[in-house]
Amino acid sequence: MTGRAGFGEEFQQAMRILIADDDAVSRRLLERTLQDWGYEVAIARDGAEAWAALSGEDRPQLAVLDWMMPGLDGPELCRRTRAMDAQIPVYVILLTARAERADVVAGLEAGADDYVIKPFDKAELRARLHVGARVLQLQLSLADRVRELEDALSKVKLLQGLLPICAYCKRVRDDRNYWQQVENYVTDRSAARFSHSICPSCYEREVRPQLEELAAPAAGREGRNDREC
Amino acid sequence: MSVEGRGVSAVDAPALMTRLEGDRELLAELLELFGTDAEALLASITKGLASSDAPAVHRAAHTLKGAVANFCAPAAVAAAVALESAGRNGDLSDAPALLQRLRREIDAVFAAVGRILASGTTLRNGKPGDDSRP
Repeated sequence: MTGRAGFGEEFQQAMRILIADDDAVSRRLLERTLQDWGYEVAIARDGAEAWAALSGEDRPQLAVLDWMMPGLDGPELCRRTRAMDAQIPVYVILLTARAERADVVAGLEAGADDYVIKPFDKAELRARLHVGARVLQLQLSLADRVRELEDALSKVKLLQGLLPICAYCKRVRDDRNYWQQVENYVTDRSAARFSHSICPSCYEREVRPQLEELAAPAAGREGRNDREC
Repeated sequence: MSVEGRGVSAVDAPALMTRLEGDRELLAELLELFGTDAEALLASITKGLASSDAPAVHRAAHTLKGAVANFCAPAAVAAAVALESAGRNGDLSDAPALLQRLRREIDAVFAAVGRILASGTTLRNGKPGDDSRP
C-alpha cells in the first residue's frame, strides 16, 4: 500500500479540483476559497470548458459545477462524466440556487455526488469537500486492494494446468524444463510456505523402525517413542 | 422584500466581510468583476425584453442573481429572482418595471460596497472561518 492511509492534509493538498461557473464573481470567490484550503484549482467558464477539463488527460479528482451554465449544464456534465470509463470517477458537487431545490433530485439522478446551495456557505462547502475526499480515498484504497488481488490471482493461475511430476522422486517439471522440488515450485508461484513435518503413516513406516533400531542396544530405556524427530 | 436603499443598507456589511474574512483586496477585485458581468447581463436582459426572449431573460437574471448574492445583498437578489421568475414563466409583462428595480438595487450594491471599501475601517466581524450567516 502507498502512504495514503488516513485522511491527511497531504492527501487533500494533492487534490485537483475543477470549478465551473459562468459568473465571474462566484468563480473567483470559489477559486480563492479553495486555494486557501490548499486545493489545486482548475477553472472553467462554461459547460464546454468544463467538459474539456473533465474528459482531458489530466482530469481533476473533484469538481464543483454550477447547475445552470451556457452550453452544457451541470446535470449534462454529470451524465457525460458518469458515462466515462474511469477507474476512480471524479467526485461531483453541483452548485444550485436555493429556489431550485426540486432540481437537486434531478442532479443527483444525473450522477452528481452531492450539491451545495448558492451562495455557498464556507463551512458547509468545506465539510462536503471532505466527504468527497473521503469517498475518493476509499475508492483509491479499494483500487489498490483490487490490484493486489489481481496480482495474487495471476500467481494462482500459474499453478493451474498440467504439471509433470516424477513418479519416483516427486520432482515437478517447470515451464523452463527444470525439475524442481515440489516445495520450491509451489513457493515460487504462490504465497504458500512449507513447514516440514511427518505424517502418521510415514512415522509408522519410516521413523518408528529407525528409532527402535537405535533403542535396541540400550535395553530398558523408557519413553523412546516420545522423542522428537 | 425590497428595501431599495431607503435607510437600510443594500449590503449586509458585517456578513459580507465575515464571508470574505475581512479581505478588502478580494472585495475590490470581486466588485470589479461584478461591474463587468452585471453590465453585460443587464444588457442581455434588455435585449431579451426587446425580442420577447423569455428564456434569455431567465438565464441572464439567474446568473446575475448568483453573482450579486455573493455580496450579501438580499434586496438585489430578490429583484433578480423576480425577473428570473418572470422569464421562467414566460410572462414578461412586468419585466420592464422589474428590470428597472433590479438596476436600482444593483446600483445600491455598488454604492454600498464602494462605501465599505472607502471607509477603511475593519469590518471583520467574527473570527476567520466563522462564517455563520445572519
